[in-house]
Amino acid sequence: MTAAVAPRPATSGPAAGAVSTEGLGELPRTALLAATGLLVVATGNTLSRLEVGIAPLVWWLGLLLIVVPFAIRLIGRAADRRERVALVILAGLALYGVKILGAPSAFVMLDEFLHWATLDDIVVTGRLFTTNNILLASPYYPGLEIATDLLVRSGFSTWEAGVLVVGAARMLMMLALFLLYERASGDSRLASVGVLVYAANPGFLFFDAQFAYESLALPLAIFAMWCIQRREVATGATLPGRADPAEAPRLARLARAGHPLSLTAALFLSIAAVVVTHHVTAIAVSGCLVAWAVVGTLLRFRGGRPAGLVGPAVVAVTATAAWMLYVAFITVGYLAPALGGAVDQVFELIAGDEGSRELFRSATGVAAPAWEQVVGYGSVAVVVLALPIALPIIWRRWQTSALPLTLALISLLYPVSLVARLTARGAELAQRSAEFIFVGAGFVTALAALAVYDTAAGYAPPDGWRSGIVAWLLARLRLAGSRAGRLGTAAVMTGLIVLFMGGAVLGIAPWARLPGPYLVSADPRSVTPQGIDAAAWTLDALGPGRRFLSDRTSRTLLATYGRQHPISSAGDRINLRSAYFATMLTLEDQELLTRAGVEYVIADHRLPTSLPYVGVYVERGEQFTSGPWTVPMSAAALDKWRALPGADRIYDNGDLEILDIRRLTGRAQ
Amino acid sequence: MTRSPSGSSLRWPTAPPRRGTLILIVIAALGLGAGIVLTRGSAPQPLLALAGALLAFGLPGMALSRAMFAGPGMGRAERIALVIGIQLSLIVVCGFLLHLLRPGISPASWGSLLADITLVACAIAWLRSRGPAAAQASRPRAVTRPGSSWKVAIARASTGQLLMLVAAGLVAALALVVARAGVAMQPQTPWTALSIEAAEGGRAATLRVANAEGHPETYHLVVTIDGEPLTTIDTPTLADGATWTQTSELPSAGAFLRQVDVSLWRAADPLELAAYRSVRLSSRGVPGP
Repeated sequence: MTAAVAPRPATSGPAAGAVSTEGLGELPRTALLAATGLLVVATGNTLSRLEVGIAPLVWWLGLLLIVVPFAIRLIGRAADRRERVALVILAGLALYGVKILGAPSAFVMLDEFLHWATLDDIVVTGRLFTTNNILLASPYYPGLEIATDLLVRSGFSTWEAGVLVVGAARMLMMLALFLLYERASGDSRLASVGVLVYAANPGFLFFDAQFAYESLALPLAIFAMWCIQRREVATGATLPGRADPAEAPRLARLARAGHPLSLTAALFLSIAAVVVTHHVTAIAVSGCLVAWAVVGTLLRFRGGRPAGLVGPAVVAVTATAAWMLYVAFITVGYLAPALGGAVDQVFELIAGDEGSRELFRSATGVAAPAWEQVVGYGSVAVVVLALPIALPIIWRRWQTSALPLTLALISLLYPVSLVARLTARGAELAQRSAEFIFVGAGFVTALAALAVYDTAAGYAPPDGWRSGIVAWLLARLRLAGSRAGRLGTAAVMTGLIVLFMGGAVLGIAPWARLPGPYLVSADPRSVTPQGIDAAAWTLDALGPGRRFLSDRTSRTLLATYGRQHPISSAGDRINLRSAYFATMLTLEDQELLTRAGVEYVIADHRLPTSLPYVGVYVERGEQFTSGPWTVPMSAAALDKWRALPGADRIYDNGDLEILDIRRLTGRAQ
Repeated sequence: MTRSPSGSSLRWPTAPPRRGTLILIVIAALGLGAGIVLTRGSAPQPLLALAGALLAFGLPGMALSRAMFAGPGMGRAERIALVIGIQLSLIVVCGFLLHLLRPGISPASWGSLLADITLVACAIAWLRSRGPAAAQASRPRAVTRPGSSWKVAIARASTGQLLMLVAAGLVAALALVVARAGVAMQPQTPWTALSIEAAEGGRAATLRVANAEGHPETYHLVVTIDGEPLTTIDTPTLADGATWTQTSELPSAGAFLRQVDVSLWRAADPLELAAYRSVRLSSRGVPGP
């Protein structure tokens, strides 16, 4: 049953690729609004630093000011392809700006320090595969550091170079994803909305905007996927499905004039870069290419054209496995426990052996505001609701096209990832997988959004696009004409805004979202001038490479500003938790410190003032009892170093002390 | 490239190969220049930064994409994606290549490798631009080229639209200024750092005081050795953010362990109260000459 509305023409906007008669369209106005949004975000950050209560409200207002104009323009039918391309790039860069404005002159996120340490090693030694004690896998996946190295050697600061490289990668991400979705659907409007929905994934705003390997690897992976699809078109293997009539001549022309060999070269170059840049992205893209190849092969039995998808999939899988097994074997030990633990906990949850994790509650026991919880759940509901609307459309319209079907398959992983969120170890896995799953979910959700919008607004959507569910619902509600249109438009816009805000809520804890005063073990909020001064002093006074016992934050600062060797249980294969947290040092502890070769201890006396915001003071597994910290660590655990015979306090800034314990551990000269 | 009389569609006349050659010459010249600047390494810092940015962000990718995708068939957006994608992938792969070569990764090796790639790619692109594909491309065709529509769009943009774009850039820059001002304005816990380190092989000790109290400060230091007063020091007034360093010779002694203790008070702190900061250095004595 269809709604009782008179269909409006499908091509009410200018045909894609046509020359607009309106100059730059709404691009300048949207750019100005986005810039104003950035100014409001910056104001929110500044107010937060000054501890003004309305700061989060101002920040959210700024974010909406950035997102809403893009959503309105891209969902509407007026923009032509050229404007859409510019808008998606601009949206990506504006949202990248949100992260930059949070820390506008230095790295503050944990992962950024981890990669900075590797970059420093490469710059100093001129060689790859150095040792990074705070992230063992990083030197074996040095793609990001290599891309940044030349800029640092040319005189850019590490922060400037990192911002530029990740900014270029962000631009590639938006453009390549747009082109991929456009190739999959033959529709620039769907592609642009798909990219916007992708940008609502929880990892996009902060996690994939930081100076870390995934921020480069993921755009390169999407670029590789686009090369594959573009090559398929170039070789005539898979032409896009039934496209908009207005787009057909352009697509047909592009299909005729292909560069299959050059695309193959670009494809293998980018796959090589992904494989040596990030392990998880390499695995994810390999899995995606395998799924794509399987779908493509199955479609051949349904009369489809032979597609060259198997080759890239085999190359990606082989290269990823070979690199991991023969070069970066250390990664197996790094990833396997995380993956295995998450899977085990999910099964235990299903079997009822394990209680579910309490959502929206930090390690300090503070719950997120109620409205954030509602928006977080709402954003999940939007994607889940989009699946039954979009999947039948995909099946109707693209049942002989491998890419749309593969994207639909990827989107089906989204509900699975929600189950993992209910477990302690699975939550991180679900969080980290969002940016991959949204490659499919973005396409599917955008399709659902446009199907609802067009069906309710009474447009005649492209063949097969009408949403049966929505039409049925509108008829049941006896909504038609302008009322239905208004309702549909409002529903889609609200859904997109909720999706975006929910992504920001789920992606980063409230205390880490905005800058502000010092918090205990709260990654970006724990980086203070005192900590930096102490770390930088170690390099000046002690030289690089000294072995330190330290907490989580000091560890990252020592490895970067200090270029020291902070001891970690993973890197040094020794667990010093009993020596660090004991209120009195036993002989066993002293023997442990000697075995670990500890030369210096850094004691941060702010730690015992609170529970750790990220759940740990030093590293995972530090608690003597199972479960999270319920009371702050003992101040006596840090005070003991002062009273220890043989320990000299050589640095003191009130909050942090550095103690020389070389005489205690037999390393004094 | 010329606009057709109607202005709505674009033709692809014989001019592009010549224009393409000019672009290739510019890319090759810039690549060569940037390579020389990086290889020599003695250029002024801004020039060095420009050379690094050109080779890290554009020239090799532009040259390679022109060599690999000569002729028609790619839209403007696709070409931009290819330039960025190839550039980023290429630089990662080149890093591994440099690691394997004897000179290792250095500005000079980056400069020579990326400049070589740029020059070779430009040469290939030029040769391909004279091939059949380019000849086909140079044939006049009354076809709308979507990639070219940007030029038309910008040409048709109203003054208001262009002003809005400029304003957007200015407002974004202002956002960065506001964010950085926030960092400077953020209230910090006042602190002073005192440190000590051995110097001159144990014959001396270096004291360092860093003032971050939020205002100029003067410090009084008392130095003892094995509990006996050695010296007192009044630092000059240190501005907020300033650091004072002094290396003091220690009295010569036998090779037994000595403890140097330093206590610090701010100018306004009563000396009878506990020291504001204190540090200790234990070191073996060094006999005098």
